[in-house]
Amino acid sequence: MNFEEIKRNAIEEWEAFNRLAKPRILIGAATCGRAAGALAVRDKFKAELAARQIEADIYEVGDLGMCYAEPMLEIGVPDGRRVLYHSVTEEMVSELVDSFILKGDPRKDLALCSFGDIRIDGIPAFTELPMIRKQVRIVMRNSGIIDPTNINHYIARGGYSGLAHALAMPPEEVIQEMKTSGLRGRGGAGFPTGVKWGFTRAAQSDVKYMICNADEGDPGAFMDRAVLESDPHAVLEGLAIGAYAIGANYAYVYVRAEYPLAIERLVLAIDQMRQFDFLGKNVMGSSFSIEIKIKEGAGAFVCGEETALIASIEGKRGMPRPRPPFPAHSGLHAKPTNINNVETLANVSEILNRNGAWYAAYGTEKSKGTKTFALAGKINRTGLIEVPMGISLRDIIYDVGGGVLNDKGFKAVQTGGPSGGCIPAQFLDLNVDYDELAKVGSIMGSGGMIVMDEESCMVDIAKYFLSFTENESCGKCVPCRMGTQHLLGLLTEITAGRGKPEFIGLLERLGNTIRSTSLCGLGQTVPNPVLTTLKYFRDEYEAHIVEGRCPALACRAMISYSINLDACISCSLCKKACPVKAITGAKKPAKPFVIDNEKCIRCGMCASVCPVGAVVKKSKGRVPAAA
Amino acid sequence: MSEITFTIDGVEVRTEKGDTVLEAAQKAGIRIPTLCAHPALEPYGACRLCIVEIEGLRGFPPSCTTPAAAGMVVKTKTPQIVDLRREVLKLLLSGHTSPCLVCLHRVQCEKYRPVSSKAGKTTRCFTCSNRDQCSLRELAVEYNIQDLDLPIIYRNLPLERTDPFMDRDYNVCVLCGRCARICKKIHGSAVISFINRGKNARIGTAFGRDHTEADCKFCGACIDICPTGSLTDRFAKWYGKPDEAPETNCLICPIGCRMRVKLKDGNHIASTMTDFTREARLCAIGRFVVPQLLNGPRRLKTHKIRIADGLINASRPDAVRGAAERLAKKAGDSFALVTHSQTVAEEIYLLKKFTNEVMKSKNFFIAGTDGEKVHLPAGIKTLYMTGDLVDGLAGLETIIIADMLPSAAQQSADVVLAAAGLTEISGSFTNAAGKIEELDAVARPAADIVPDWRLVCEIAGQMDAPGFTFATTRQIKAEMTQKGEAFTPGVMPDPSPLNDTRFLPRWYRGHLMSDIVVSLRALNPPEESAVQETTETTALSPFKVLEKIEVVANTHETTIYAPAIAEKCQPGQFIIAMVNEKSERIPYTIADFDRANGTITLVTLEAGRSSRDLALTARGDSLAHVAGPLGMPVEVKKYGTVVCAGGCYGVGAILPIARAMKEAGNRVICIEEASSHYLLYWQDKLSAVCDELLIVTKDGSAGMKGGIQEVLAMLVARGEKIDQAYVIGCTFMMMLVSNLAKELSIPTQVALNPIMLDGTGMCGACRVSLEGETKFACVDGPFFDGHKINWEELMSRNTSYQGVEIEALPQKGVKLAHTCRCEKNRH
Repeated sequence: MNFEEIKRNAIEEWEAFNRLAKPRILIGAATCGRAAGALAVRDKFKAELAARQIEADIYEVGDLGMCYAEPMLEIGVPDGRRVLYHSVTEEMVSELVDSFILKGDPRKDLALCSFGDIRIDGIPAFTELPMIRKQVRIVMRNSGIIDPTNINHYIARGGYSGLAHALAMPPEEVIQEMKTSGLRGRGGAGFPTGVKWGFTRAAQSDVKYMICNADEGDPGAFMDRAVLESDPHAVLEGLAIGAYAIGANYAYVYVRAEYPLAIERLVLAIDQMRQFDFLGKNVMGSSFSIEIKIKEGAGAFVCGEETALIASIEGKRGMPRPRPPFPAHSGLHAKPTNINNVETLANVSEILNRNGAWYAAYGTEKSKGTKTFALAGKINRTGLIEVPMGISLRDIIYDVGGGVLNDKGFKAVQTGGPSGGCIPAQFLDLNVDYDELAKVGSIMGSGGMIVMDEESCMVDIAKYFLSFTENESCGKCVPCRMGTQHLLGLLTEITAGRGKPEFIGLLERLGNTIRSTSLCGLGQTVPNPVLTTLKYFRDEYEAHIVEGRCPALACRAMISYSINLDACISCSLCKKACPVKAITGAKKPAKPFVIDNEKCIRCGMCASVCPVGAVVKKSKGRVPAAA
Repeated sequence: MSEITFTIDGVEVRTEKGDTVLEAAQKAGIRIPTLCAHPALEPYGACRLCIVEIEGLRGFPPSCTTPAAAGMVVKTKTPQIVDLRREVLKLLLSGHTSPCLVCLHRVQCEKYRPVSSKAGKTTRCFTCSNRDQCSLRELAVEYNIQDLDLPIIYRNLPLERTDPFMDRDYNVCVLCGRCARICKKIHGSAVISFINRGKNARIGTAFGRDHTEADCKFCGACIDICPTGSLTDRFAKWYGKPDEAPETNCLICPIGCRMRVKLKDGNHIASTMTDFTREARLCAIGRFVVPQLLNGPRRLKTHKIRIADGLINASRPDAVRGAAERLAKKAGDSFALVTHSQTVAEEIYLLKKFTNEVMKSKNFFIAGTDGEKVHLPAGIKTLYMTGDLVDGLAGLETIIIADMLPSAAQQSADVVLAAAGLTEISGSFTNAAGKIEELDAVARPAADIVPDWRLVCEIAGQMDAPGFTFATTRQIKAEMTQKGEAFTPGVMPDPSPLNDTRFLPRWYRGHLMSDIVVSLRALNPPEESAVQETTETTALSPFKVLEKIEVVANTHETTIYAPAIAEKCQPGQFIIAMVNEKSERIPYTIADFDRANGTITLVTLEAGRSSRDLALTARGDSLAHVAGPLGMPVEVKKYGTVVCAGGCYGVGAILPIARAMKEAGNRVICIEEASSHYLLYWQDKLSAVCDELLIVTKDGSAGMKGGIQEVLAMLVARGEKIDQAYVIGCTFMMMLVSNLAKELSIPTQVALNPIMLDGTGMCGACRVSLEGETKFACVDGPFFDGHKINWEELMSRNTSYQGVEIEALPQKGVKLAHTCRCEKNRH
C-alpha cells in the first residue's frame, strides 16, 4: 500500500468512527483521568450497558487538558449529539445511561460542553468554553479526540503526511522549513530547532543519533506525559522527520520509567509504524531508514540535561559533562547527536504537514507558535493548556485558568519549574514568550506554571524548590552539590525563625556563585527560585528574619492558632481532630475550648475542620504583627 | 601535531592542537588551581576551581575541559575569577572536615602536635593521616581562606574498615571522582563509582558491598590518587609524608613489577605504581604486603645464637662468627644449602658458590615459590637455609637459618641470622619476560641487618675461604659474567595475579604470607570466619556494656555496669579499663556515674589501638576488667564562680564536676569547645548542671569562634571574677588555656593524661613535673595546678612511643558483629 491508500483507508475509518451508528462513549483515560477514577467509571459503564443490553462502543481517549474536571467522558448518540460530562462518578453512570442514551436528555446540569457540529441548547460548545477559547492547539491537536492506540485516527487527521512531505524534500530543505517556522526548543532553553538540526546535519560521521527527550521531571509539569499518552504518533513522526533531516538512522525515546502508560503507548505506536512502513528500511519507499528504541530512565531529574541523558543511554551514571564538545559534534557514543523534547517534536510533525510559514503566523516576533503549560497551584482550572506565544499572564491565569482559587489575591506565578523564577503580580500583563520571561528573571522552561495566592509564603516556596534540587543535583560539581545544601539550609533556618540579617546577602552571594560556576544547566539555574523571590519579595524575607513574622502565615514556627470563643459553637470537632491533644474544652458541662500553644504543632487540622471558622491563625512574631 | 597560538593573561602561548586550555597554561608555566584534574585522567570538570574567562564564550568555562583554539583570549586571574574561585573553594571546604583550616590556633597546634592523632574517623586536619600531603590545605593557603561563613556539612558516614589494607572515610571526600576514574581506567570496569544523588552523592560500590566482595584487585591506585584523606593505606597512613620515593622492582613473583617505594626514615612503608596506567599496575602483594613483610611487627630484627638450650640475641659479628665456627669442619656432601628464588641472581650465584667451593658440597637447592618444602636427601647433617624452606629437620646436627620472618624451624636452629631482602637489596633480576633489571637497594634495613649474600661473604671470610671479598652485587655480577653464568628468567604466572586476587602469590621464603600479614586472609582462601558471633548475656555480668553510642563522630559514650566503682567514685576520678584479656590497661576519666543503677559512663575518643578496642565494643559485650575509682577527686566546696571547661572527650568528664560544684552552691559556668558544630555533644546535660553554658568552636560554626582561652578572656573582659577553673581535654588545649589562665590569675586545675601503667603509683611512668617537683598523675592527680606544669616535658613524654603505637595498630579488616547491611545502607 502506498501512503495515499493508507491515508484513504484511515479517513474512511475515522469517518465511520464519528458517524455514531450506535452510542459511543469516549473516556479520558490518560494518567490524570485514571488517577481521578476514569477506569472505574469505564468499568461501571461497561457493566451498566451490558446489564441493560445496550449496544454501544466505549473508547479510551487521551487528555483534553481539563484536569480539574476529571474524570471526563463524552457520550455521542446516534442523532449526532455529543456531550462532554465532567467529574463523573460511578454513581452518575446509570443516570447518564438512563437520561441521555436511553431518553435523549443531555442533562445540562451534569454537562460541561457539547462537541461536534450540533449545538445543544443550554450547553456551551467545547470551543466556547472559557478555558478553551483563547487556546490554540497544535501540539494537542489530537489529544482527547482520537484513540491514541489507533494509528488510523492519527493518519486521518493529517498524521504522517508531514513525514511524507519531508521525505519528498532534500534534508536541507526540511531544515530550512524548520528555520522558517521559527520553532524554538520547548525543553526550556529555547534554542532554534532548525539551527540545531543544521549543526548536526553539518557534522561529518558515519553514524548519527536522534533523541527524543521525554524525561519530564519538573514538579508540577505533565505536558510531555499527556502528549505521549494522548497522541504518541505526533512525537514519533517528528522524531523520524528530525532523523531524516540530520541524517540519522537511529533514534531513541528517553522516557521516564514512571510513565508506564506513555511507554505502553509508545511501544504500540512503534509497532504500528513498522506495520505501516513508517519505520525500518526504506521508509515509505524512500532511501531513508530509521530504527527507534525506547530507553527508560530511572527518574533522575538531571537526566533531562542532554549530556546526562546521553550518559544514561550509554548505560553510565546520569551525570552531565562539560560542553564543548556539544552533542551535535560528539554525543551518544561520541557520534553527532541531536536531542529534542517531546513538545518540539509534536510541533515538527504538524509543521511539516502544513508549512513553516503557517506556524510562524502564531506567536511573537522571536517566539513563534504555541506553548503548552501545565497550570497548577492555587488556580481554579488546573490542567494542560496550549496558548499562542505572546498571550499575557493575566489571560492565562484569569481567562484560561479561571482565576485564583477561592477568590484569594494573586501573589505570584512560578514558571520554568525548579530552574525558573517567581513572577509577581506587577508583571501580570507580561506577554509570555522566551525573552519577556527572561527579562523578569524567570524562564519558559518546559512549561510548568504554578500559581500562588496570598497565603503562599515566598520563602517557603523557594525552600520547596531547593529541597527538590538539593535531592536531584547529581552531585558532580561542587557549586551545585554543596550550594543547594547551603541554600536550603539557610532557607530552612529563615522559615524556622532562626534567620539572621546577614543571610540575605549570603543567599545572594551563594546564588551568584552557583549560577556562575556550576557545570550544567541544572546547577546554573538552581538559585533562580531564591534569587527571583529575593528580588521581588525581599520584604517577606526581611519580615521573617527581622520581625520573626511570616506575612503569609504559612511558616509554622511563626504562627499560632487560637479559638475565637465568640464564634465557637463548642462542637468539639477541633478537639477530636487535634493529633497532639492540644485542645481542651467541653460542651457539657460548658468549658471553653482552648488551644495549648506549648503542645500545638501548628498543623492546622483544627482550622480545617472548624465548621464556623472560629479557629484563628495569627502571627506570633517577635514584634507584634502589623496585620 | 600542529601548533596553535593564543593568549593567556596577555601572554602569547604556543601549544599543540588538541590540548586543553589548562594543559597549555601548565606548559607555559601559568598556574591555574585544580583539584579533580590529574595528568593521568581524562578531563572531568567537577571541582570548578580551574574556571577562566574566555573572550566570546559565555560564563566561566573550566580550563580543564575546554580545548584551546587558535586566537583564543584567555584570562585566568581577573578579580571576578579569583573571587568566584574563592567562593567555590569555600563551598568545597564546607563539605570537608575543614575546621582546622580556619582555626586561630593552627600555627601553634602544628608546632606542638607535629603528627596527626591516630583517630578512627577523620573529623578535622589534626586527626587526618593525610594532613601533610593534602591538596585542600594547599589550596586554602593559596586562596587565603581565613573564615568559612557557611557551616561545614558533616555527614557522619560510618568509617569503612571491613576490607584488607584500606580504610575509607567518605566524610572527608570532596567527590573529585579521581578514585572512580582511575579504577575504571586501570581495570576497565570500576569497583567504585558515584552512588546516590544530591546531598547523598558519594563514592561507593554497587549495592554497598565490601571491596573484597565487589572484586577489587587492591592495586591501591585509588588511595594513591586521592587528594584527601578519604582513602588511606591502613599500614602506611600514620607514618606521615614519605621522605623519598625511589623505584625498584618487586621480587615476590617472576613478573617483577616496577614499583615506587615510599620511604619513611629508610623504611619501606608503601609501594605505589610508577605510573597511573594499566600496564604499571601492582597486585595487592606488591602494593600492600611487601611493606608489611619488611616493616611489620613480625620482621626479624635481631640475630640469635644458641647457647646451651636457648637462643640469645647476638650482634652480627658474633652471629657470623658462630655460624662460621659451626660450619668449620662440616665440608662435604653432608652439607646442604637451601635458598629461594625470590631474590637477585647474584645472591643465588653466591650461595651456590659458597656451597660448592667453601662447603665442597653439591647439595644446593632452590625451593619453589609454591610453598612446597625441599626434602633433603639422606645423609645431610648440616643445613644452611635462607627461609622456612625445608621439610623434616629431625636428624640434622647443625642448622643455620638466615631469614626475615620468624618460623617454627628457628626454634631448633643453632644460629638465626636476620637478613635483608626484597627492596632492601640490590642486584640483577630477570623478569619473566626475559628482561634483566638492575636493581638498587632502596629501603634501608635496621642497622646490623644485611643481605644474604653479604652474610655468606662474612661467614666465608671468617672461615678464611678465598673468593668472597665482594663489596657490591656489581662485583659479583662481573664475576658471573666472566664465568658465563646465565641469567634465566622465571616463569610468567598464569593466570596473572594482577587480574585476579585468587591467584596472588602466597609464599615468601617459605612463609605463608597470610600468616605474617593477616589481612591477606580476606583475599586468599581458605577463609576464616570473620564475624564472631557474640551472644548477649542477659544477666548483669560485671563490666557489661549497657549502652554504647557514637555520640559524635569518633567520640564514644560507653555505659558500663560496675556497681562497686559507681558506689564509691567521686567527680574527677578515673578508672583503668582492659577491653579484653590482652588489652593494654588504659585510664579513662569517669564522665558520669549512677549509683542507683550501678553504672559508670565513659566518653572516649578513638586515638589508637586500645581506645579503638573500646570504640568497637557494642552493647551487650563485657569488658575484661575495670579497676577504679582511681586518683584523687576534685575538691568540692564553695569557691564562688567556677568555670568547668572541656574539649573533645573532656566535655564528658566535666559533667560530674560541674554538677558537684553546682550542688555545693557555686555559680557554675560551663564551656564546651569543639572544632566545629558537628563535634558538639551533651549541651543539654551540661546546661542542666550549670548557670551558663558557653559554646566555642574553632571555625565559629556554633557559639564563639576560637577556643576555651578566648572564652575565658571574654568572661574576664565582661567583669566576671573566676574563683576556680577546671579544664579537661587534650594536653595541647590544656596548655593554651593554662598559659592564659596564669596571665589572668585564674586558679586552674587541669586533668593530665600522661602514659600510665598500673595506676597505683608503683611504676612511675605517669610522672609529671610541677615547677621542678615530680608528681604521679595516677595517685597525686589527675588534677594539677595548670600554672605550674612543665608542658613541654609532658608533651614530649606522651609522644615517646609514637612508633610503637603505629606498629601496634591492627591491620586486619574488621567486621562488626553488630552492623548488618541494612544498617549500613541507611546512611
